[in-house]
Parts: sequence; C-alpha cells; structure tokens
Amino acid sequence: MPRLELHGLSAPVQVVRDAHAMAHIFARNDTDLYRAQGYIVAHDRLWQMDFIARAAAGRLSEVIGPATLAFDRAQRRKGMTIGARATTDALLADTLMAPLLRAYADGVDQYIATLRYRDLPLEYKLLDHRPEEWAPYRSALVQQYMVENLSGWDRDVEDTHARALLGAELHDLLWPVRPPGVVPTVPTDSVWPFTPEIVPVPPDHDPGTGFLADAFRSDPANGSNNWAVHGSRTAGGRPILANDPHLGLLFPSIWYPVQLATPGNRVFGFALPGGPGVVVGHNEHAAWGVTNAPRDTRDWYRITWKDSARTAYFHDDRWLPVQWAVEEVHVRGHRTVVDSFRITLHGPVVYDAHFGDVPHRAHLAFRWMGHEPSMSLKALYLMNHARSHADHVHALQWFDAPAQNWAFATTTGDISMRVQGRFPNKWHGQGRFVLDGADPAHRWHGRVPFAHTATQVNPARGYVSSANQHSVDERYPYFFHNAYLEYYRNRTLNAALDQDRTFTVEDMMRLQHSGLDLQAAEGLAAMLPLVDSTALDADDRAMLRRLHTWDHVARHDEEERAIMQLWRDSVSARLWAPLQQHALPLGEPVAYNMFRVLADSALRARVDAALDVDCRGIVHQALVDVLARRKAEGPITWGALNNARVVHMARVPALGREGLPVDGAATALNAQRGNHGPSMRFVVELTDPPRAWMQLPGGISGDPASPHYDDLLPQWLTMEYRPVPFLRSAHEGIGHGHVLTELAP
Amino acid sequence: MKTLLTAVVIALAGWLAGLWLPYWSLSAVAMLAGFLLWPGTARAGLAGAVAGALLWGLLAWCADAANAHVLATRVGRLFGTGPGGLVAITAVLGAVLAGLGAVLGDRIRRSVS
Repeated sequence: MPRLELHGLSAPVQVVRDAHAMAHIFARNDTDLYRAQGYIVAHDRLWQMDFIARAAAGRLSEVIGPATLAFDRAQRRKGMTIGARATTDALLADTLMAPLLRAYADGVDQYIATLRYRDLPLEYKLLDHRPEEWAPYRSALVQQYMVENLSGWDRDVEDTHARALLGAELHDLLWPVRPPGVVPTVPTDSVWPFTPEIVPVPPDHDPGTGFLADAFRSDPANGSNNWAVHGSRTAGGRPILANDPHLGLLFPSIWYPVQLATPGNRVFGFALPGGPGVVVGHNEHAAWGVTNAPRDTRDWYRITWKDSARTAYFHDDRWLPVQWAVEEVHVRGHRTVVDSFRITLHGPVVYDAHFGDVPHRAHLAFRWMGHEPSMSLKALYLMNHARSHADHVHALQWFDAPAQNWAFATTTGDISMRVQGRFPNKWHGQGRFVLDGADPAHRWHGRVPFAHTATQVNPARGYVSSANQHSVDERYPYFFHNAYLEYYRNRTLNAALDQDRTFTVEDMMRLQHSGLDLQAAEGLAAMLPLVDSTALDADDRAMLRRLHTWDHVARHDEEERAIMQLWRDSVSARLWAPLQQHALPLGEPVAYNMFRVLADSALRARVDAALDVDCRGIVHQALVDVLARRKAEGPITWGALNNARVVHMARVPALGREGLPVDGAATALNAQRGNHGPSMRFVVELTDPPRAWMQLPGGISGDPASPHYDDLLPQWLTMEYRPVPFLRSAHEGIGHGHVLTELAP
Repeated sequence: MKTLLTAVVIALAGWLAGLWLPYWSLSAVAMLAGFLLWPGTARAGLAGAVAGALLWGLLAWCADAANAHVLATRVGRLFGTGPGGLVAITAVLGAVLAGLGAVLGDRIRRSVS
C-alpha cells in the first residue's frame, strides 16, 4: 500500500480511489479529514483552485498580462476582496471553523511542497506561473467567487433609464416585478406564521438618468433544478431528492465529487475545489441539494458630491469624507498599476473617471451583500453532519450567501424547501432603481429575520421543487424582486411532479435529461398565429406545419428548436430595436415578457403605439427571413446552433470538447446552452443508508494527461448514471479493486 | 563514422544532462560537442540534429506510451495531428535545438582558433 507523508495528522488517513479515481477519505476526526481533503483536492485540482482564487481576488493579470487588467480592477472595485477578507476574519474567529480551515490550507500547502517543476500541472507550464500558497483567505475567495457568480447581476441603472424614458406604465409592462402566470418556489399555503418587520416606503424620489451601466456582470442564467418527492409518492416509499446545478461547463469540472468519513459521520457529495466539506450531497441520514435563489442583493446609490473633487458627499444632512482604497495590480510584463477609488458608507464607487466612466457623470456607489462576512462555510460543515430537519434548520442559521433554495430530505421521511440567504429588509420597491445616497431612508434596514424565511415542510402536494423562479408569491410580506428570474423550467418540473402517479429514481433521471422546452411551446403559441401563411411558399408552409405539430422537445439532431431560436432572436432584435436607439442603456425585456405581449392583442397594441412598431408584421417578417436563410444555407440542426461543449478554464481549445450531442435548451430541464448547463447531476433515494447516483461533465482529475480528466463525460451525455460507492470503510473498497493510499504523519 | 560517434556522444550526454538540468541543456551539450569534437560545420549540424531527433523522439515516445497516449492525443489536436505526429514534432524540435547548438559550437571554435 502506498504511503504518503502528511504532517499534522493525529492518525493515519486512508484514501481509497474507485474506478473513476473518486477519493473516499477515511480519517479519525474532522481536522485530519479536512487536512487530507486539502491534500487530495490539491493533488487532483491544484491549478483550478489556485486560478479561481486568483480570479476572485482580481489577480489574473499577474499571470495573463494586460488582457485581464480591466477585469481585475473591476473585481477589486466591486469589493470582492472586501467580502473575502471579512469572511476570513469571521471564520477564523469561529472556534469550530478556524482549525478546520487551517488544516485544509495546510493539506494543500503540503501537497504543493512535494512538487518539482516537472510535476506541476500542465496549465502552470502553459501559462508559465507557479502555484501560490493556500490559506483560509483563499478558501474564502473561492466562496466569494460563487457569491459573485450567483448574485452578480442587476438592472438598476437600465430600469432607472427605462422608467424615465418610457414611463412607469410601459416599464411595468415590459419589466414587471411579478408578471402574471409565475409559480413561486414556496407558495403561501395559508398565512405566514409570523408578524413581519415591514419597512415604511419613503416619499417618491427622482433618481435622475444618465448613469453608466455595470459592464462586469455574471451570467444571469446561472441557475439549477432541485426537487424532493415525499415517500408517499415514490415507488420505494422513501423520499427521492434530485439536483442539477447549471453553471459554466468547464474542464476541470466545477465540482469535485468526494466521500468524506470519520467514525461519527459519513458524507458523499460535491465539493468546490478550494473549499472544505461538500456543498451538495448526502450523509447516512439526509440528502440536500441547492439552486440559486435570485433576489436583489445589489444596489447602486447616486452620490451627491460636495464639489468636483468628489472627496466629500452628502448623507443625512451632513458632508462626509470619502475613504480611499488603493489597490496594486501587478501586470505580467508591465509596470504595476496602482488603482485608487472612493469608498462611501454605501460601498465602493466602482466606475469613475479613471475606470470606465466620464468625469461629469454621477458616479454611483455599489452596495452588495457580498461585501459582508459570510459564514456559509460553517453552514456547509454543519449540513454535512445534519441528521434531521431540525439539524438542517440549525445549520442554515449560518447560511447567508449566495442565497440558495435548499431542498432537503431525510431517511425518516421528511422533505423540505427553504429559501435561505441574508436578504436586506427592503421597503417595497427599494433597489429596483438607482437609490438616493443622501437619504438615510434609502439605506438597507437590517435583514429579513431568519425565522421569517420562506419555508415549506412536507407539503400536501407531496413534493418540493425549485428552479430559480420567484421565491415567493405576493402574499409573502417582505418585498421580493430580482431583475432576472426563471419562468419555464420550474413549471415544466411542477407539471411533471403534479402527475397523479408514483415516481422512481429512473423517473428523476429522465426529468433531469428532459429536453421538453416550455418556452418553445409558449413562444410558438404566441408567434405562430401572427404569421400570414398565405404569403409563404409551399416549402415554408411545410416548415410552418412542422412547427405547429412539433412536440417541443429540443433534440440536437432536429431543426425545429433551431428555427424557433433564430426566429425568437430575430423578433426580439426587431421588436426592441427602438429601445436600443436611446443613448442610455435600457436592456431588453426577457423572452417571457416578450411572448406575453405577443400573445395578447391588447398588449401588442400598447407596444405598437408606444414603440412605434408593428408586432404582427415583425413576427411574420422575422420568420420569412429565417426561412429564407434556411433556403440559402440549408437546414441547421439545433445541435449545430447550440453547440453544446465543455471548454477548458484557460480556453485552450485542444483541452475542451465541442459539438456534444445533447437534447436540451436553456429553458428545458436539461438546461443546455453552449458551454453552460448541468454542471453535475445528482439523485438520492433516502433508503437506509441512502443510495446516490451521479453524473459529471468531465472527470475527477484536472490533469489533461489523466484518463480521469473527462472519463465521466460520456455518461453525462446519456441516461447512464454512476451509482456512487458509499463505502463504510476503506477496506470495503479494496474488495472492489479500488486503490488504497495511506496518508501518515 | 565520426559524425555518428558525435551524435551518440551528444545524445548520451544530452540525456544525462537532462536528468538534472532544464530542457535547453541539450543545446548546450551539443554546442560543447561541436566545440570539442571538431567534426566540421555540416557534420556537427548533422550529428546534433540526429542526436536531438533520436533523444527527444525516444523520450517523447516513452512518455507517450507510459501515458497511454492520453495527453499527446489532446495536445496533438492543437497541431492537427495525433500522438505519433506529436512525437515527430518533438523529434524535429530536438533536431533543430541540438543541430543549431552543435553548429554554434563549431563556429565558436573556428572563430577563436
């Protein structure tokens, strides 16, 4: 049996590698466990975790050069390091978490110390840099990276401009807070069992116009599906939980599946490289999965400057001095850039005359929940050990960001959904538009209390589900708003789970792979009646008939979804062209609201009049043009247009995979769009102990020279799931031909 | 015969040097051989090229076989070729590096003598 040295362990740790090199780590206690996890993850994913921590801290230019300088400055100006430092301080002040985080970092560092140049992961050689020492701060940076990834989006500036230019009525039609027909994650069953702490709405104010829109936003489509079905509705009589997070499809895989075991606890799940414990997974008693819970936790404040020097600003009848942040950005092959920017009590002034904006404009201050210390890593630790629903709720007291919909199920039969995050307690409408930095009423007023979190436990319908839609309905007493929400997957999922039948594990897998696209169905229902088929030739009418009779499954080798996409995009571009003619950025309404307009003659008439367009004519002409292109260029399959692919994090083409045969679309449960989609799939049946199945669009190893770099990808393309070996001991694995290594002090 | 001998010397010394020194030590070894073994400019270049091609080709072939062609298949895509092509490219680079090194050694000797 191979033995490796790992100093600081209290006893030897056994690491079993199964057929796909997934590590099962057996340690005597949690400190040993996380030290070993750090060592093992570094062995498999060192460059990836190092690079993510660099990106989060705005330090890519040290490796890449001037090409990433603007990105790095934006990261720092948005306060990524403010948040990560605050998180580090909070975690290291916690007597439970501090030793675990230090042990994890030490494990990573001991692995790095074993490396000679020739052993370095390939990417270090391609980009010519060296691994950097790990530390709890860098685990906090990885966490901060996810917070940014999942809450780094708003439309405050665009909505402010749109309201000023189009009027409140048209703005509310095109960008409603809650359009008709949405189904919330947690519906109000009767009344909420608490007395809300409602913040009074201050007098109306005019935020003005002429602001710079945020140029560095995360992808608003970062989302996921999760659900749990009660045992009363499953074939086996036990709850089944499923989760598939939709993120960038990357090599190395975003997730690192691993089993972590001590004598007191055994957990399998998906870790983030760089973070201790697992994020999503199951232990012997319970399983949990997360989806992003979109909520507006970023606001922009208009600052009233004292003079053109902008060194003092007005707030609460006083002039306050700005503080200055000074950041040194090292740039490979160039002189270090010293970047200084103002910080107000609302937050940093991200864009100014020295970064992206022009001198005379009202530079906005940026308030973001990501600036506050996060204890989410502690919540994850406690979740890894949860034995009951009560333990789950206890653990989530610490979970603050990024806000997530937590699906949870136990072997004793409970299922639940909880919209957990640290949400500012906003007055109705607060933060939808640019706020007034001079008025103290515009500041955030505490948080929505933990006890008032939207939660659903063992509901009568026999399941809980979420897919990044509106978290709550209008009867939830706290203000809910987000500029981007999901409108289709959630209803497809609920429609499937509402069927009067029982479900099996295989049913859940089929749902995760479903290419049924509700947006295509509703979009075509809105657009097809507006086409004048008498003006089309025989070929085009044949295509039109195909669209009429299509079952709305986005198959990669068929044409219908491609035609629908091209048509939709063309209609969107023409219909909203008048919005783009303004000098100020307004953005575009989402497809759900576009189709709502197109499907309703009264709404079409309003938009026709307000924007001086002809909805009907646009829809017809867009199809004519798409079909003309089809005639000229030949049929185009959905697979060719969507180009499902997995790309290498450093965008090295040879290390990625293109043109994967995947049935799905952004608005189908199999949410596949380019190199974005199900970053893993996970199904757990809550037997005793639980049994889990998984898929990963890559492999365990981040090393392109390893056969385990992408060996799980073929399964991910099919319905073949990998049963997860949930080992009771290291020796149980040896019987199955697994490879055992011992880490010894 | 002298060319072949020079090639063998460069390949062996280059392999030994590469155990401890960076990849470019092959060039330095070839330069030294070109300087000390005075086979003539063309012959020095030929010997260096043969040695470099043999040494790097063989090393790359061994590394590729030990890795079951996994990495070479991926990196080969960058060059529009397979593992065999990548081994050949590596051999050519070795030939250029050692060949030019040997020529340089020969020229230095001529210019100082």
